[in-house]
Parts: sequence; C-alpha cells; structure tokens
Amino acid sequence: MQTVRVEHLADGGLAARFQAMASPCEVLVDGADENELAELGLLAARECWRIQAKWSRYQAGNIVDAINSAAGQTIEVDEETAGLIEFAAQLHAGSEGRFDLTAGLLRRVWSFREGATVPDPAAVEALLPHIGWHRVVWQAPALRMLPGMELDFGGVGKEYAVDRALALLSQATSRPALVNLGGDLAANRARSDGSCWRIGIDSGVDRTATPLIRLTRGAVATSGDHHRYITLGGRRYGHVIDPRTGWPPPQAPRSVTVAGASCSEAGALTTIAILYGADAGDWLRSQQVDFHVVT
Amino acid sequence: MQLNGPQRRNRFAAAALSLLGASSAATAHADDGSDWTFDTSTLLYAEGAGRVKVFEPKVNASLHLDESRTLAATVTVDALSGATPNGAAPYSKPQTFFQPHSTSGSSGSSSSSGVNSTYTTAAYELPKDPNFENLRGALEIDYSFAPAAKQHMDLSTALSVEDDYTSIGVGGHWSRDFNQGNTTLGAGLNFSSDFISPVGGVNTPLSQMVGSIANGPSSKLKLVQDMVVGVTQLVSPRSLVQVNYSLSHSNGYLNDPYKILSVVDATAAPLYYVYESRPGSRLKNSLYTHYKARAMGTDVFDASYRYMIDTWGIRSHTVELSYRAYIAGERGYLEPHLRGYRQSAADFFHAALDQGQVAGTRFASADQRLGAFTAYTGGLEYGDRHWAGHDWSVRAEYYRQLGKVEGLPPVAGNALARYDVAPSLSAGWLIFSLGFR
Repeated sequence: MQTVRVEHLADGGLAARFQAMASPCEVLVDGADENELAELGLLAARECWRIQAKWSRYQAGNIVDAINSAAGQTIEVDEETAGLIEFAAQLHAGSEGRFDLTAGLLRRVWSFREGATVPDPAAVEALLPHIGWHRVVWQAPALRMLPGMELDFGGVGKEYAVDRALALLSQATSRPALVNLGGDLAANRARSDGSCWRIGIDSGVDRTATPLIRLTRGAVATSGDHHRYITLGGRRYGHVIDPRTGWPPPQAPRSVTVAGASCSEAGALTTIAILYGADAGDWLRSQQVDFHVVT
Repeated sequence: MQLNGPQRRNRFAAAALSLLGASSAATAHADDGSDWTFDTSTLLYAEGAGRVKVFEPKVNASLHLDESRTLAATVTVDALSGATPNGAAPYSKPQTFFQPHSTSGSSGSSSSSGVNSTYTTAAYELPKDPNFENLRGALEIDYSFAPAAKQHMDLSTALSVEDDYTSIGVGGHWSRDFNQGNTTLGAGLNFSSDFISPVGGVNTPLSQMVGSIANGPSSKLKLVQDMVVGVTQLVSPRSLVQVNYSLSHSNGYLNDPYKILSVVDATAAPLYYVYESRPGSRLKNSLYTHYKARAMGTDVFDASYRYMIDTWGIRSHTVELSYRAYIAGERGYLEPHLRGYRQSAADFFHAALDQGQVAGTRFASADQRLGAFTAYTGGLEYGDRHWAGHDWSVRAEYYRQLGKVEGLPPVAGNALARYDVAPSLSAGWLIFSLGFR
C-alpha cells in the first residue's frame, strides 16, 4: 500500500501519512500547504520504502539475503550497509554485548503472537552457538559469518530511516519538519513561531498515561512491548531478548523513551536500556540523556 | 515530559553521527544547521544622586566549527559619565579641587602652570568629581576545543582600551570529565598587563594636590596573574555541587590615580589633599561553592557562596540565590535573584588623615570600594526562549550599598563624625539580551 495521504489534523495542521516498516508514519512540515506537503511526504516516504526494501530480511535478492545465505563465505557490502554495520558494532561494544545484529535468529524460538508460550530452554541453548557479534569477522567492507548465522537490521533500520528522511526534507525545504515512524521521530528545528512540536507517544502499556512529548529539535525513540510479551508463572517475558543468554532480561522495563540528537542514537539507547533490565534507568542516567521509563 | 536532546554527547551520539554522515552527503539535521550564533546585550546602569551612568552594548558572535570547536569574538563598548567620589571627606564649607587634565592636547600645544582648572563641591556633601567621563572599547577572542576525549579547553585573549587605561590579557582553562561525566575537574590561568596613563600624568603617592598636572611619570604598569582550580560533582541526576578555589596576584601600580584623601585639622577642616597610596602588590584568595538543582520539573534553583580574603586586610562574603521558574508551557521563564555582600575595610583605609598620620603612614586610601560596607541586590529577569526562533530576556536589578564609618583620624574623629563620610549608595540597572540562533 505505497501511497501518501495528506490529512487534516485536529489542531488545524496537516500531516502526510503513509505506511512503512509495518508502522503508521507521518511527516509534518510547518507552513507547507497541501500540495507542498504531498510532495515532501512522498520524498520522505520513498526514502523509508527504499530503506525497508534494502534491509528487509523478507526480501529475496537484497543485501541481507546475500549476507544470510553466504554460508561462511566473505561478502563485500556497499558503503551505506557498511555504515549501518559499523554503527551496530559500536552499539555492541558500548553495551557489553547486549546489542547484537546476529540476535535475530532467536525469533525462531521466541514468538510473541497471541497464545505463544515460553520456548524450550534446550531449543534456546541450541541457537546460542550461532549468535554473537564476536563470532563475526568484520573488516569494512568485508563481512564473514559462521554458517548458520544471520544478520537482522530490524533494530536499527527504522530509526535510521527517520534520520535519513528528515535529512532529505531539510535539504528540500527551509521549513521546520518532523518525521514520525510509528513513534520514533525527529525534528530539524522548532516550529516557525518558536513553539515546540507536541507528539503523543503510545508507550504500548495499558492504563499508563500517554506521555506528551514536547520536542524543540532532535529525536525521540520509544521501545515498548506493545502487548508483545508472554506471561508464565507470574513472570513477564518481554520481546527484547538478550543475545548472550537467549532470554529476555529479568525485570525489563515495559517501555523506554529516550531523547537524542538523532533518532538512530535515541533508538539504540532505548533498546540497550531495556536489555539492562532493572538497571535501565541507572544506565540511561549514566549516558546523560533525557529519558522516560515505564516499568 | 520535556525531552530536548542530550545535555552531553554520549558515545552512541557520536556513533550515530558518523553513521548518518557516512551514508550520504546529507547528515541528519539534529542541530538546526546554523553554524553561527549571535548574542547581543545592552546594559543601562544608573547610580542615585546623579552619580555614574553607564551605557554598555555588547555583541558576541560564535562560529561553531564542529561538534567541539567554537571560535567566538565579543565586542563591548562602555560609555560612562557622571560624578564619582574623589576620596575627600565632606566639610561644612564648599571645597575646591584641581581637575586633572592633559598637558598636551591633540593640537600639540603644551603649557605648564597656567592650565590648572578646578571644580567646587557643595558644603556637607561627599565631594565628587562631576566631570567623570570614560569611553571604553574591548575585544575578546575565545577558542574552545576538545584536546582529547572528555577534555575541554578554552583559550582566550582580551584587549581593552580607554583614554587612560589599556589592558591586554591571555588566559586558558582546561577541564576533564571523570566518572562517566559525573565529575569534572578544571584548572585555569590568566595573565594581564595593564598600562595606566592618567589624564595629567601620575602623581607621587601621598604627595599634595597642587595642580591639574601631575608631578610624576606619564604612565605606569600593573600586572595581574590569576589561577583557579575547581571540581564540579553531579550529586544526583538533578543537582550538582561546584567548588572553586582561586588565587589572584597583582603587582605594580595599583592606585586609582584620581583618588585623593583630605588631611584635616581637629575641627575636620581640610588643610590640603594628598593622592592615595596603595601597596604595590595584592594577593587574593577566594573559595566559591555553588549548588544547582532542578526543582518542580524543569525549574532551576541556584545558590552560591564566596569567601574572599586578601593581603590588604579585606575579607568579603557573597551569598547569591536565584530561582528560574518556567511559565507559559516553558516558553518563557521568570527568575528572581537575590544577592548579599559584606566586606571589611582594607588595613590602610582612612576616611581622612590628620597631620600626624600623614607623616607616619606609607599607605592610605579613602576609596569607598576599599572601605567596609554591606550591599544587597534584588532583581528579576524575564526570558522568552522561543520568540520567532530566537530568545530574548530582560533583567532589572536594584542595588543598595550601606557604608560603615571606619578609618576616622584620631585627632578629628569626633569632628568628622558629624558628617556623612560613608553615605549609602543606590543603583539600578536593566539588561536587555537578544540571541540569534
């Protein structure tokens, strides 16, 4: 459904809306009329769709498919993919191994669909030898993994798309703009009258007040479990899984929202914070960022 | 919830920037993309009773070269006018003083004794030089950068020029973050050389005032060295404590070349006037503690205390409190501010001298800034952070200084006590600031 619609908002403003990466997306451009917004919205949407197609793990023939079917061979990646891998490698190093591009394999045993249950510990254990960035030989632009390992860019792609779409909008117009991909968002400056952008964020947690974000510029990302969790024996298993154990971290917060200069940075901080479990707040504090944690 | 981006760059911010920079020519405009910022401010200051008035516009331009490097230039102009106390004690009859002026004007004509000019002050009033005027221009250039990770360095150079005073200075301040940025240690050094060339020349200290033209050389030199070390500690996510110790040494010509003292008889009648004389060196030690905390969401509470002690015998205490309350959805803020100050007099402070004292003293000054006094300042600032994308503020302050009578000469103490030798002083000022982002 690759269309962009310009819609009227309750406050009288306009938003360009589209779907990308299984999320509702919107572009706000302060002062733009319907025609201009439709054009700018399409520009942002095309960039999101390009990024989705490039790193989707479901799309045969793309670079991710090539990497995941290399079966132990060295693959040379393009410059943009190398940048994303390098970024993920730094997140791995900065999170004591919690953030890991190779963790996607765990989806095979962890499902958070309606009626799903906790996996067999033996099945989790069996996957661990194929997970871990330390098993990957990465010397940009060359990448070599053990047979059976997989890369999954799901943890960084959406936030990267927000930053890229905003960068394109900043080039195309001098008007203040905001890009929101399913609650991960970034703005390039305050609105023309100097006021903040106001965005409600769905933490995905029932009966929790929806935080209203007032953002001047920069980015905000939220990682919430959006009902994607399993309860067993009174224990809650969230959807963010620690690649070192194959299990969700104990006492993980249900939702974490972080502000950053870029959405890529903010998104990385939210995911890593959840992987710090009960220490999420302390860890975010040590990163000197503004954040909001729902436990 | 107010989320406005990181206060300080974490390692992921840097990684993300390199990701976005590498992907294409366009980087994400998390900053607003402008490399220049401009700040302007104008001070309007007026003292009560027709004393000094100041008009001081200031412009700062900063060029943000990259994440850590900034080059900034600040230009300040001060226009000062009004009457300023000359140091003489009040008396029951009008008093006449020589007005200093140059021996040679721009025309190049020079003369000697025939050029004396005078001014006369009213009976019972604290004598003031009514023709005090000064224009100052100053330029400061700062360069700040990160010499290594977690380190910050500021280098600065300053030039200030007046008719009778030129100052040049260089300085550097280094700081380093420790303990995940929760602790910052800093140290700084500053040197300045001041060339003082008073109108009419330099008078020999404690010599008698006999004319408009000085009896000494045309100029003098003053050297100042400052050192500061400090630590800032985050004590909770919402509060910090800062402690600074600073040492300031100055030597050379430390007099105010225009300040005099009355030499009086037992009835407090002025016999003649002598130029002040201050020691040729001064060492100041001060300790500064500062507590800053967020309150009620995003409001900011500030409290500080400074203790200063110097080799001239002055000890001072400064207490300062302010509270910044955000209003109108954090669009603007109101900040009330209170300051209390008390200092003791310098050892050589004299309201006037008697004849016996003149013979036996090496140092003497009647400058009220070296006397004992207590002062209070109260003010209010209103700032608007989002005015068409810029920010502006206006601050109004009121200052009240209460002098304490000290340093009366033994022979004329009772006679002088009839006069207001340490009058109180009121001043008010307004500061308008406008920042362009």
